[in-house]
Amino acid sequence: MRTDRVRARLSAYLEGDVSSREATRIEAALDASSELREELRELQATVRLLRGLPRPEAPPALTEQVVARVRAGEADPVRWRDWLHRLFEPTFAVPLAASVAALLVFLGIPTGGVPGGEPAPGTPIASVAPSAPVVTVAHDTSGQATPRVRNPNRAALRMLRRQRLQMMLRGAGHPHSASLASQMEGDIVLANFSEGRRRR
Amino acid sequence: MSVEMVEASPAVAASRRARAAAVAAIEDPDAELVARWQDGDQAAFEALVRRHERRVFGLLMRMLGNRDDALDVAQEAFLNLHRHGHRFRREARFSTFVYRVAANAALNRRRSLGRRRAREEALARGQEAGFDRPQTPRDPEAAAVGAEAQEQVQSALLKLPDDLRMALVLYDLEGQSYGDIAQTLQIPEGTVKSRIHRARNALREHLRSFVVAEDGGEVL
Repeated sequence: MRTDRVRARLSAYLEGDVSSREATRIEAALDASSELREELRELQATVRLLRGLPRPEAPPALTEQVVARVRAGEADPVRWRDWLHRLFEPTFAVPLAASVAALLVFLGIPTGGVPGGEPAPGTPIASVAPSAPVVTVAHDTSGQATPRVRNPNRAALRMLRRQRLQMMLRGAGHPHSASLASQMEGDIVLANFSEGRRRR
Repeated sequence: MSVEMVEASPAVAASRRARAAAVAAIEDPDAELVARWQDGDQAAFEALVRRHERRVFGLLMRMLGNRDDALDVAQEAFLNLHRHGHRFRREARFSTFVYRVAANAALNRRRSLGRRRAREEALARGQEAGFDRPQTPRDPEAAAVGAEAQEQVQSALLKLPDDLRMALVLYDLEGQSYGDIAQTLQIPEGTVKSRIHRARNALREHLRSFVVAEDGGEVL
């Protein structure tokens, strides 16, 4: 049996965790090597020292402190009602409502008639007057003329989108629905702009 | 401390007896208290904490290296025990369940502190103020282990990786069997043995100079 293998099995040998066949081999190796015998003695001394360590006394008030904390409700199981309550805390509710609203807008799901929304189903909440696009010509640094198309309906569409966002946020019970909708609408415009730039 | 005893209805008492009978099969000395606690008797929980506080605190002291952390984590462990006590199905001894909760709490604390930082802090504290001296020895032979030796062993223990140290402390200091440790740490018994033997070899390496020097070359 190789020395390093015997060395790794000395602790198991001390505990009697080796087969009789392996024990015979280890004993043969120990007979042949003073170095291994020394290591075995060191290991025995280490285990003796370790087992001689006394168990520390617990502080006298540990049980009382635990019981007091249990009585204060610190060990109560977390109930689903607590989680539900957390859903309506501002730190969680605002981003959640905004995410849901943004997702609905992104998916194009109609949101008219949201609970708490004022208009009855089918009632238009804003009208967009049709008008023709306005074409202007811009000149770049080299003097070359570039046509630009401006759609006057875009502002009206933006207002419509903001109103729908406000309705959804009011439906989710958020007190700052108007300002949040405005901010989100700005983010959507910026995202569309960035996407347009990427496509170009 | 005043405690409230809960009157048990006949049905509850019957279920308690049935559970106690089932637990008796695995010879758990905590069975009766556990049954009462799971039926809502807070006095039984208090008695269980009192019965196991020293074991839990001892394990945490050896794992964390200082009293403040051990006390803090011991309280958290018992609160967790109370919180999740209904999950204890009495398929093992309650003490094993308690060790599992305490071991998880200790390992979580070690992870949250960061292994390296925790080790350095514990060593620094130990060198500055000396490790907390135990008040009563675990067995009569312990009296033979002097304060310096205790300090050396605790210091060497803190140098071991957490998984090896946990197995070693549970086996050599807490006196748990391989099977109990396997249940506590939820690892195979073979892995438990391997960790214990590796930990002992590592500890021997750390303590070699001390062990030899203590007795002028003659090993203790």
